[in-house]
Amino acid sequence: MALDSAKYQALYRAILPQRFPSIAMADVLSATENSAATDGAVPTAADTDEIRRLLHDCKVLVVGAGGLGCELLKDLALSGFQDLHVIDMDTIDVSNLNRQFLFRLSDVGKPKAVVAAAFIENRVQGAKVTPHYAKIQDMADDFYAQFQLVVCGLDSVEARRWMNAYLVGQADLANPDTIKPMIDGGTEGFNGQARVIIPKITSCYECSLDLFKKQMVYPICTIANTPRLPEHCIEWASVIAWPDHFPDQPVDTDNPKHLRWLYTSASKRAEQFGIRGVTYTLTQGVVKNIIPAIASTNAIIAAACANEALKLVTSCHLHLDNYMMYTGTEGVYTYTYAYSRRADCPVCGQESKHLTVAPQLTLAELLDLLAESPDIQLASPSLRSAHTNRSLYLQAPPQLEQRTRPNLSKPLTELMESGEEIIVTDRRLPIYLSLVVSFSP
Amino acid sequence: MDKTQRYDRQLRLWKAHGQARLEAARVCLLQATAVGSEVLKNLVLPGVGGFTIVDDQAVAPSDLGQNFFVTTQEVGQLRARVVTRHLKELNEDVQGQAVVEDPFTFAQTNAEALLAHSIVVATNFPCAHLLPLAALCWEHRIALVVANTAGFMGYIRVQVPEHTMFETHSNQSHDLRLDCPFPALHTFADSFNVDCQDSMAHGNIPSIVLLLHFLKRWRDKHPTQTALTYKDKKEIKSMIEQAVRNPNEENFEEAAQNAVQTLHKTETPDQVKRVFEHRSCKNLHASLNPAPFWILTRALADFVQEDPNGLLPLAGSIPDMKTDTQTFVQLQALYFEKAEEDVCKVRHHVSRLLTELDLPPNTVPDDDIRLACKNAVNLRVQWGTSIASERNKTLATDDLAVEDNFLWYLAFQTHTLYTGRDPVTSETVEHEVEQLLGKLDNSTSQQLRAHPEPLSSRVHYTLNHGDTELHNLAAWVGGVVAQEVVKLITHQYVPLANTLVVNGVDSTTQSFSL
Repeated sequence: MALDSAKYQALYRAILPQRFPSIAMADVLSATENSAATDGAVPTAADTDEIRRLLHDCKVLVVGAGGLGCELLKDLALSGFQDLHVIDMDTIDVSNLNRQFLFRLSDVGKPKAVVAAAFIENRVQGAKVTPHYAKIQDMADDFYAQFQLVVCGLDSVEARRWMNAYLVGQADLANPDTIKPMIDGGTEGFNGQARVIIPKITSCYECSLDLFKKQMVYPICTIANTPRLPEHCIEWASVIAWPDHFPDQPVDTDNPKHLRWLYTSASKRAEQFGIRGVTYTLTQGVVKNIIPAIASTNAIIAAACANEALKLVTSCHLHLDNYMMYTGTEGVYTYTYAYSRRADCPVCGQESKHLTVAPQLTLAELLDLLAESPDIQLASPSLRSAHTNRSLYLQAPPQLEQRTRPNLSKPLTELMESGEEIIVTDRRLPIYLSLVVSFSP
Repeated sequence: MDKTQRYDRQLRLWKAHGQARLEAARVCLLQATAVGSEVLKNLVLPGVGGFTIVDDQAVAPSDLGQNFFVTTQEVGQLRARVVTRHLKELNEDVQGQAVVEDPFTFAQTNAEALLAHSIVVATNFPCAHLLPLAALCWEHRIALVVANTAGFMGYIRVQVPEHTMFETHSNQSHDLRLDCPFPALHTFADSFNVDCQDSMAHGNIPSIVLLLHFLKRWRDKHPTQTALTYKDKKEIKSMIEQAVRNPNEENFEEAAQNAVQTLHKTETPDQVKRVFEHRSCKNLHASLNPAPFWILTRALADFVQEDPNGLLPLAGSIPDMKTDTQTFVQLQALYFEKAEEDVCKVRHHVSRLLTELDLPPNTVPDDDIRLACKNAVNLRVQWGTSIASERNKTLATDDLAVEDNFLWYLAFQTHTLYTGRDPVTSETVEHEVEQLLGKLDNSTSQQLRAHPEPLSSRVHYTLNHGDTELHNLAAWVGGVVAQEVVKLITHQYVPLANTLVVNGVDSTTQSFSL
């Protein structure tokens, strides 16, 4: 359900010049559009006072101080950005050192944001970097309000969805100050992507949720009864054997003792079933959902993102509209295109999402459907009727969860009319999805 | 320091044997530019064996805004030493060496030292010095990667005479041999009764067995046909769908879903056949000191010759499928054992060849034989072209010439030719454009002569920005070059063949085989 992107381009041109004054330089825009090479004015380090001022005045939030974050801080600082903030909730681990070049062995255990900020300030003259050792979800509105631009180097889909939904939620087209572009990078092995999201103007992260493959989920009956792969044995160890042995202690995937225990019990189970291939490395990979990461790919994607930040803020050239995919496994291949907005996007769309289901479907089954649909993927949704405002199911607080729980086993026909609008929220995401559920005849 | 911990996130890609190759490699960087320093950063972090930086400049104030591996306090010190010192901090296992000499003439003055490296990276190199360097590397079969940036634009050229690969990591479907089941698989499949009454047993027949069974049933009806068409596969698919007893039979669902994809003819890929036909394989015995790769390739070719179906060794792995544990493990073992038999045969060919060649038995390690067998369908060789031949070639690219990134490629050819630091005059640009047009075939050059502005403005741009580096472009190009170096060193994944333009204005890249 693609929207007319020209319409949004026009909207963008009307609003953004107020936000980023330099974009009003229409002549620069048209010149760069027609021929990149005609104007010789390239902002080498600090070429013109105008560019220097724009970079100086722009307060940028870098989200994540990991593989991409370290690169982003370096690239942005050397591009002339002088007021950088970085937020990360993690501490440094030995396995970060193969790519997170601002950290040394002696830094292991320290907060990433703090060490990265100090390193950049020390190395790049004139760069101010303020660290925040915190979770993005815990920061208040006035924290985010101070930035003009957010650049994300995250490793989890969940955190990206949160950041995206938050920034889109704050954006008010009538008030340009609230529109904060989000530049987002991501990598996996030799591949990655960079994109520019202008909230409510371009497509957002949620619009393209189905692009990203979901984490492998093994059916519980396979894990419990008919394991065939080493992964099944490892999942058994972590979701069945561990809670059995340590009912009061959740698995800590960063604790080597816990991992060792999981590995040992997975190995025993594998041996019992004649399954080969359980190793410590695989155990770690499965329980921590490890995504391979290398220095070079992070360098490429972060540089592409910082390059977009520079273009966006100085308007020396038009910024990326809006998606670049990079593949390095087979030669070098990039695909740059405008990803379309989805009219029924739960975050930035204005239209309801329509769903047709069998009338005998229970509310619990509808919840499963919401979790599994590639374009929805809401793992802990609460539902209420838009018309009557009656809660159908609430995840929290516990009393209300208990009171609405009986609805889960009821067929939808008992809870709503066909074609009724349901409001779906999720306690892990600032999302508000309007869902119209119709019953199939 | 536990290396498996430190390198965990990359070992998951190129495994311990890829890492061993990386740790045995030495990279030589000519010119400690921003882009060059970024390349080395991305190689020191994953633990390349060692690097050498050849550079005779002092750190200049202009380096500060471009290169992360120099500081204000170090202005005036020798750039090779400063960058080496900062890079070595990133990984204490990496050997780093600074050589304070003219990087442009190093190939002539110190050829021996240069050739002691596994790979050479030359950055922002003027043409006059690039050609002798490229010729030396080509002659000695050492990989050379050239990387230049100008403003928002980047250019990469990989020069490798011959690059050999087994582990391309190309997405390959599992090698199941459903069209020509080996005897043990045949017997195993026959041991199932697909019409059995027991619903539990019926729902546990693995999809591979179902596919074999329904294929056989279909063949009984169409005895004369050999190769399956798309329509035939769809027919088999619907036969399977009709045999489902209840919607819970996931094994049938799986078989139907995979029918079209898995019921293909097992063949030796054309690109593998081409490698078998190459003289290094066919005339193995004629070469003086054949590389282990070619001995393995010849052993595989001999294996295919002997194989009753004319096929490559079996890879030996199967995907997960809906069935009980015991059946799956049995099935997995069948494929595994057949693959082991094939490895054994290839091993015999290798030892025979080594005897014939009068080479010691350990010339080809057993692990390499296994890797070759497992990845036989991905066997691949890239034969490169030299930079010298590219310079002398007439480019006939009617349709490409109008493309923006091809013009940028051309503009970088002047950039590399341009050695002076004088102001760029319109005469210089005109002269350079004229030179470039001479490299093109008639129709392309006429086309560009009619509308010279796109090319001349780009030539002006590269000449104008050849001396300064934008850090973002240096980091981007440095990242791509490091990926290429890793691919070349580990012989895993597929390197760029052979030229890339990185366009930071449009956020695109384009590769060219020149």
